[in-house]
Amino acid sequence: MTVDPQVIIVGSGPAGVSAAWPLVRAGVRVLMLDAATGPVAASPAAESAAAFRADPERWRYQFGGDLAGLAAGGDRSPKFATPLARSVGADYAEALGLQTRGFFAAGALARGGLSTLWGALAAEPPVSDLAEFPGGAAGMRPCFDAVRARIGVPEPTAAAITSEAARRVFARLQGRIAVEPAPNAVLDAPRDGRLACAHTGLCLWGCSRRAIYDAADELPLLRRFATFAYRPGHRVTRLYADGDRHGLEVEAGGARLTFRAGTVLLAAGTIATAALALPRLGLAGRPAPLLTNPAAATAFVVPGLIGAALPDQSFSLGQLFYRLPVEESGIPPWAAAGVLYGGDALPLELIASRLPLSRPVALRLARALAPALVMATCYLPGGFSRNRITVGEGSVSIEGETPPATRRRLRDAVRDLTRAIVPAALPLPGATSILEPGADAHYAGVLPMGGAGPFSSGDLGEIGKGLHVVDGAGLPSLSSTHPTLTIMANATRIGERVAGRVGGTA
Amino acid sequence: MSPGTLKAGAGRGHLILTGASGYIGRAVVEAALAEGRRVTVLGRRPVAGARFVAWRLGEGVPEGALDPDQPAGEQALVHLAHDWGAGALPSPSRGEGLGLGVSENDVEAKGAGGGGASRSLPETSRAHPLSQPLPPRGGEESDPNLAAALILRDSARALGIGRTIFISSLSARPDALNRYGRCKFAIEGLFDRPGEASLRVGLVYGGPRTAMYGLLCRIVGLTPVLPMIRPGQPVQPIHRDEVARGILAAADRGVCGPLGLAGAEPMPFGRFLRELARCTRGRGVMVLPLPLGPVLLACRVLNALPVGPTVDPERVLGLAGVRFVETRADLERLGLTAAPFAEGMAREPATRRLLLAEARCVLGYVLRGRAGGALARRYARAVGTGGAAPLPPLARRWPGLLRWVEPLGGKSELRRRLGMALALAEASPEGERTLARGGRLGRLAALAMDLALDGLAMPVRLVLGSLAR
Ligand SMILES: Cc1cc2nc3c(=O)[nH]c(=O)nc-3n(C[C@H](O)[C@H](O)[C@H](O)COP(=O)(O)OP(=O)(O)OC[C@H]3O[C@@H](n4cnc5c(N)ncnc54)[C@H](O)[C@@H]3O)c2cc1C
Repeated sequence: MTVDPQVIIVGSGPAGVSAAWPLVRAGVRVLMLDAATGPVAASPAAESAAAFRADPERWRYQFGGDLAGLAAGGDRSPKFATPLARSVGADYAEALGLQTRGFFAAGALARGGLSTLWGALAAEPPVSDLAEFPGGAAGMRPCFDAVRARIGVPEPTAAAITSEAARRVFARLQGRIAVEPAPNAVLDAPRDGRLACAHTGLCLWGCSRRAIYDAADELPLLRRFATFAYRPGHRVTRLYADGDRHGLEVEAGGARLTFRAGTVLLAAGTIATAALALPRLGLAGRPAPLLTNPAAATAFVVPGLIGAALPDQSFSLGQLFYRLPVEESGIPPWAAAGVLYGGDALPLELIASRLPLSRPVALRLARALAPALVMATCYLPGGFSRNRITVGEGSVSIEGETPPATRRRLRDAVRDLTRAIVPAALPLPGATSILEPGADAHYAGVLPMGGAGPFSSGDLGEIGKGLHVVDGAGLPSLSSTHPTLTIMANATRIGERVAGRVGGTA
Repeated sequence: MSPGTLKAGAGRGHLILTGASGYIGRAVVEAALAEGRRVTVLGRRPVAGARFVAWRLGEGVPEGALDPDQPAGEQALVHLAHDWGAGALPSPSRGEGLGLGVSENDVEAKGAGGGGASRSLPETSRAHPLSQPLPPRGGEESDPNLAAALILRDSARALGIGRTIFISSLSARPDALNRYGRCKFAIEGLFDRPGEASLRVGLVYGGPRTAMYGLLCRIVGLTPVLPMIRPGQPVQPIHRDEVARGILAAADRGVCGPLGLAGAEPMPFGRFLRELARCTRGRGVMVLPLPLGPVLLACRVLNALPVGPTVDPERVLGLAGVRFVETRADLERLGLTAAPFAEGMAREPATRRLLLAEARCVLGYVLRGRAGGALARRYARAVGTGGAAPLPPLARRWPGLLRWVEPLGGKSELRRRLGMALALAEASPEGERTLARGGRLGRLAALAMDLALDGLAMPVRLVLGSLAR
């Protein structure tokens, strides 16, 4: 692009690309700056789960060529231990000057951001959870449809449930709680150079078929437009006012550059966006709220499947999506929600490490349990989280806490889920854990749209004329339903409105 | 003769070496030859790959030692030779059985610095061994090594040799407890012109098990309990290859004055020995602190006896007098980083062999079958530094026995390694074969049996676990 950009978008994650589409389609000149560095770890290319299990090179994908993945662990998504996660998350904490206490902060300076490793669960929150959004649920609806159509979220069907254990649990849960085959942003038919899911079960290590949505895969599509330019390796370090335009200080390969545009959309991911926006608003040093979904994890076994052979085909992202009955007594009323996973594609080590047996026996028991396992996550709405983010000079500190009442609610939710599932599957003793705040990687609500007080933004996420927050940082509330589809829908909405204002030239 | 006149890259200077057949000397020759340098050794015996000129300690540099094709100013002399012989205690080899003897290498070249001598310098007064709590100071003025160094230095100056590097010890101090340290210090003083330097070498490890390193390897293999004086004394280990590189760098860079060539991070000698035992023997040693005074007395009593091993107080004092010396800046001047001890040891072939044996044992235990070479090597690589884990000796033969001793919980090293073995075994073709074997009923029956046996083993593991704590 030789002419000045009309709009600069910071970040190439789901939010950034979602905001870019309506702008680019309207002929607006867009420059996307992305801190992405280095290559992302390679994904295994086995034909089936069985072939992967027997692959002599499997260790490389599982632990990385340097075997560093062996040291990982903890109560988080097993995804964080993969070489993929380590390669996309490598410089994040350092670049941000991130310090955490009682909080797990995931982040990725990568093409596609955290969608390079996300779980792809793309459910639309219930209407009641969108009440605080500008224009309400009705205003958001067309945007949800547009995003689904763009990225490919197949209509969930029972046929998509690959885990026999999950299938049995599904049969049991139907009619007891709201449950559906997981609406995943995973292709069931090829499109845009991506292949359909072949149930190789390698989802954890990164899908070499690109069936799982990753915002990075949209970049080549966007770049077909002459009005779109993408600059990786450009990390925005500071925002400043430059007359009636916005200046961005950028660090690129050791060099310091500055960019200017009349309109800037911040899509660096909630935490990184907060790091840029708060100092710009003169709110450096002041703790801001940061919403996350308080989360618990638990596991069940279907006794009749213990010891069964592991299947050839499997899928390690969510199999079922459930929502517990609404707590009408809450203000506003709320419901816990979560995902059920099959255990047949999980590294046995993760199961075995929790079994108080000698290692050879733990390994064999884990293998016997794997096909019978159903693992569950359970999320509460962000209103139950209690985290604070403070942005300082080149530093970001986050403190997290799970208040006792929230713990109690999480335990109650797990209990309710268990009651609904038993006897189709039995709870695995000792398998329930309450995750560290932030381990869900659902970050939102630092500058809620339509909020009051200093920590808020306008209906289009604007925090100044022509300066918009378009990612999770601007969400007015955080549903217990996974946030990314909502983030993308909202970014689309803002992108459309900004396109209308700026006007295309092409 | 100013430093830096050697053109970078253009055939580094010719190297003349005394003490080339010793533990460090050989490493220097190998490293120099590998860099494509020309090397001339001065000594009694030739060394493979190098030019040889006959020479004895006490003689000057023979003129024929110089490379006629190079200006003398671009050539370097490294003085490693040290005469341990003069006045040593009688029949040091009698100490061999206790691991206190010295290797043949030490006769011509200093074994290792830091911890002090391998074999003693002459005692000036040994007339009343029982009456002296500490040996007398002094004596270094009359040490033949001092006179020999002076002759060598003067001849090198006369020939116009550009760089002269004297290999000293980290224990070199005017007030060193042992004579070795005082003597080294006195010699250092001779090399005081530009282009002349002394390298104070720390506790050298790695490579062939000779000299001080060999001695320590043997000592840690002797007994599971090792009594020693002041186990908290700091030592500054440095790998033999790093010493060789440091010496060559000094010869190239034209440094002057005394420079430390030793690990920058001190570690207690006791820990050094424990890690050494882990890496070389695959087991731990318990270090039992001893008080200095009584030990010296015991040495004297022992040495006064006509039979039994001779224990040289020089060695005892060499160790007791060690002090930490800051070397970071010196290493930087040499363009060198000294790897932490555990890291350096991990590269040793012997450590690797032990680790591979451990890998086969631990993986065999988890797999209940043979682990392939690739898998075992992967395990060894994953363990990284830190050497082999202490495994019960019988378990090496029968890995299945680990079931009875496997730690139940906690953060023990063995537990960590068993966890790694499990993860790696699972992610290997042999693991998949083992786990997929048989039908469902057979697997379940075996599992039931296994769970019962684990139940039986539980009390044993509990008891052993609490004992370990
Ligand atoms: C393991 C895991 C599983 C998940 N599963 C799900 C799920 O199933 N469903 C769901 O809805 N959500 C899920 N999420 C959350 C989801 O990934 C995030 O909500 C989503 O990626 C947020 O998108 P974003 O565009 O706002 O930010 P990000 O994805 O974080 O992208 C940020 C972008 O900004 C760039 N950037 C950052 N800082 C700068 C800077 N200073 N200058 C320039 N560029 C910068 C980055 O390089 C990146 O391109 C999951 C997350 C993880 C980690």
